[in-house]
Amino acid sequence: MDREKFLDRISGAQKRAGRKIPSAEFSEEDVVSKPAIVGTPLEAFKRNFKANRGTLFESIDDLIKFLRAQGYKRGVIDAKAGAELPELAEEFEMLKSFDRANPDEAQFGVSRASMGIAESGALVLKDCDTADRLTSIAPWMHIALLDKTDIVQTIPEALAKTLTDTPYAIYVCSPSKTADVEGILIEGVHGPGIQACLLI
Amino acid sequence: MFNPPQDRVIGKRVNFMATCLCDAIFDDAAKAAVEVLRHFGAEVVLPKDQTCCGQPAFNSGDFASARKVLKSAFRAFSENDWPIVVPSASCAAMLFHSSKIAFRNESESERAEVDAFASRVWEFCDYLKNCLGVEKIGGSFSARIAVHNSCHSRGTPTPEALRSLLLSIEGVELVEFEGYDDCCGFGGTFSVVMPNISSELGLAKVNAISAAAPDIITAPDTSCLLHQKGIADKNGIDYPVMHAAQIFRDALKNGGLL
Amino acid sequence: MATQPIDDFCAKIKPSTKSAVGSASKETTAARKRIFEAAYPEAGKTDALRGIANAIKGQDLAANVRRAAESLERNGVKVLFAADAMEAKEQIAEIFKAEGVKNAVKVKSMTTEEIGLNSFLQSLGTDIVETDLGELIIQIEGEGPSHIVKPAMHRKRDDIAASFERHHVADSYDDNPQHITLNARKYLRKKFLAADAVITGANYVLAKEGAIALITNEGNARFSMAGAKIHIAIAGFEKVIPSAKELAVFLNLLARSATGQHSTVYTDFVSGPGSAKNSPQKMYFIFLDNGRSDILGSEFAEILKCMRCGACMNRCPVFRLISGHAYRATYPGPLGIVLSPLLAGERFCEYADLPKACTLCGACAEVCPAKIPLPDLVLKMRDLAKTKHCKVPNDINFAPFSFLATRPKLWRALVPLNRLANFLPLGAVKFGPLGRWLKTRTLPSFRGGLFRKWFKNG
Repeated sequence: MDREKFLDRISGAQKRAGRKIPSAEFSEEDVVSKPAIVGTPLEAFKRNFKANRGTLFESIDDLIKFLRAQGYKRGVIDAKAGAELPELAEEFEMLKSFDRANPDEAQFGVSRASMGIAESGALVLKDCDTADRLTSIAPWMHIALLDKTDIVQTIPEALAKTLTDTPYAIYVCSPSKTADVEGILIEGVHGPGIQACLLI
Repeated sequence: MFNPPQDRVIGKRVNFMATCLCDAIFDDAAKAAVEVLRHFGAEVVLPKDQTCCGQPAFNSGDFASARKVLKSAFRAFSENDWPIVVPSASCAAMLFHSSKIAFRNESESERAEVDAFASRVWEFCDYLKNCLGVEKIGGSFSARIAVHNSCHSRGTPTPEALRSLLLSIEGVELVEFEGYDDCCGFGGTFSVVMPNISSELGLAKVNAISAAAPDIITAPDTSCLLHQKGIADKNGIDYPVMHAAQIFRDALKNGGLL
Repeated sequence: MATQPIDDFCAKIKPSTKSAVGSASKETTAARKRIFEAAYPEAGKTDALRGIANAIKGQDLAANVRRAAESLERNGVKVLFAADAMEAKEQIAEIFKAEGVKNAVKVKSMTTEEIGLNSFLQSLGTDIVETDLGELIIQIEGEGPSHIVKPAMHRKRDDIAASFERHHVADSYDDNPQHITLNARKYLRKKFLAADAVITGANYVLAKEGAIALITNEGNARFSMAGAKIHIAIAGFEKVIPSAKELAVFLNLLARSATGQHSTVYTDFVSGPGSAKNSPQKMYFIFLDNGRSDILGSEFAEILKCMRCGACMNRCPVFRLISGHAYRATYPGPLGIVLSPLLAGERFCEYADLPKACTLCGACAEVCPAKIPLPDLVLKMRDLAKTKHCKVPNDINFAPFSFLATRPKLWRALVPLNRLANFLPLGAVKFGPLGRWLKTRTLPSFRGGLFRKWFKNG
């Protein structure tokens, strides 16, 4: 259908109904969950990310211990991860790019988080900081590298910075999950069964 | 949800609207309500031309019939402009909320008449507590009581008024049960338009309440109780029901106050 | 007299389905309540937020849709407008043809269910695979969703496992829910990576930014938008909100209302072709009307504020008992009994019994995150059905009642006569409203006129 005709139908309907447009003004105060942002943004992020069943590491050593305990041998690191993490390459076979033909080749993927949101404990992954989206979604474990200074306190603050520099962004709160079989919570549907964050 | 209008007409001289169910079946609930109102100082008149609030037709989508019945009610209560007290949450909601929907496309003067009427309508417990200012019923009534809210009291002051008034009676203990604010499946004509669904919901409600083993089941509405009691009887379940007004009246009598 | 189809459905439904739907719905309602209390302990804050959502959804849609279209185009998105379901399907088919799409994946979208997209594309020889686990479960059996958020809530693990084996999603029968999920994971990642195109809906369209927001838990949106090179999104025009700022309101309401989570796992923001290596290089967006502008101009416009969370159906006593398929339409529950007949257009009367499947208890309106006055809309639907002279089974003629109730003298004379009925064998009545009442209930004694007599003498 022609755009103008389509829009005419909408404006015609609005005129016919003759309703007043209500004020939709609101403040950050109206939407933010106060219990969710107690503490510094870093504290709140850590608390909420863990409450979402995210796996948090504050040092590369703890991460390596975890990966070792899982029995992982092979990982993939995104070309735009922003850090080389030579410690990982010492112990694990680290692929530099994701092979579409073999989506389960890497047991874990490492990529850069552009931002963290304290209020929801979410990681923000943007295309501008991502070489390949598959690194963060296909392997069983994803490790997001998050700079502590990139944590914003509230969802409104995050929204103001989400699409400013990228065509695509995603908020990731926890492992991929479903309850589609009898309402039973299962983690690791299409995306990671373990969603981790390494604070740097 | 079914919020009454703000700034309702107040006063101690009131019209009593018995409702068609009390007129036809539950005479004692209406009697009790009048006795309680009088005890707390209300002067009660019973306009003789009253019939029904139009709810059965309205809920069935027959708005034209509902409007006729409502207009008849407006005439029946036109001798004064006092509050109208109704011992039924659903009839009250019909008169102060749904009537506006029934008349939404009618003339401005008719809508004004509806608004004026709506602002006079009080559900019985709401009136006692929030217009007469009754905080304590007094007397005594020794029973474990299960309260069914009646869905049309949702969003109104009735559930709170009913509970606090019951608790003001010596000997009353309120019992909790699962799904206390779930519908019992009556739904007016729904009960015979969708009889399987209605009956199954009703039995679930009766079972949930019975599991709490109350001595009495009460509500601010005779209609929900009619349905629940009917289902309980059919299933051989002991299910003693009383309208809230009957409990208040009996408490006053037990205390020698009435 | 035709029987009442929804009520018959209730009588015949499998006990296992009934218990699955009932308990899952109750649990989700309870989780919703707990999570809002945790997020907003301040009195009235949740309620106020719902009010803000209602106001945002009541903004000038004509202006915002225009702005959204322009912003999307500025971001490199090809924007199309579809008047109805058929036009939308043809537009998608044309894109598939032009781009050479043979294999497509879909991210759960009620709008595509509404227009019947899958069967249309399949009839053209395209392989289209649902990637939400619940949607996959029902798609392979050729079923429609029974709930807008939990499409397979009526299914049990054993029959899902058998179905997965039969349709080669799994190599063998395994009814462990974890293994069912892992089998779907293995099966679907091949589909994600082989897909030429991905079709999504849009939970929100941000007019200012020219972007859509997609809200999922499983990550299928992310994965399909990493696998496929073409992205087609379609949404009703009512999904447009002014900007990302307003999205804060909905991100705080939607997941809590839908599943009792603070947030869904993934929120995708897509404003055009991606810049990462594996991402769609082309994006199309289709604005759909399909009856919406008629609704917008009617007294049912509030239903367009719906954000498809499913809280109303989770809370509905009738839905909990009969499950979504009883409604015979894409949208079930309190939302559906208003929306489905309206979307049916000329076939309105076929769905005129749906608004009857409501006790008017009002519980849905208490949980609706957009504060839609659902019971009022249901009543207006019943009025509309009556005005259109739709025939609804078990409907009662109220003309005799209103005749009597508008004649006070006659009423006063007749009501006391009901006591005579106490001497009649009413139990023998098997038909009509009274027969339907007495089948499962008793009636107390009639005591017509006794109250008035008492009042007069007292």
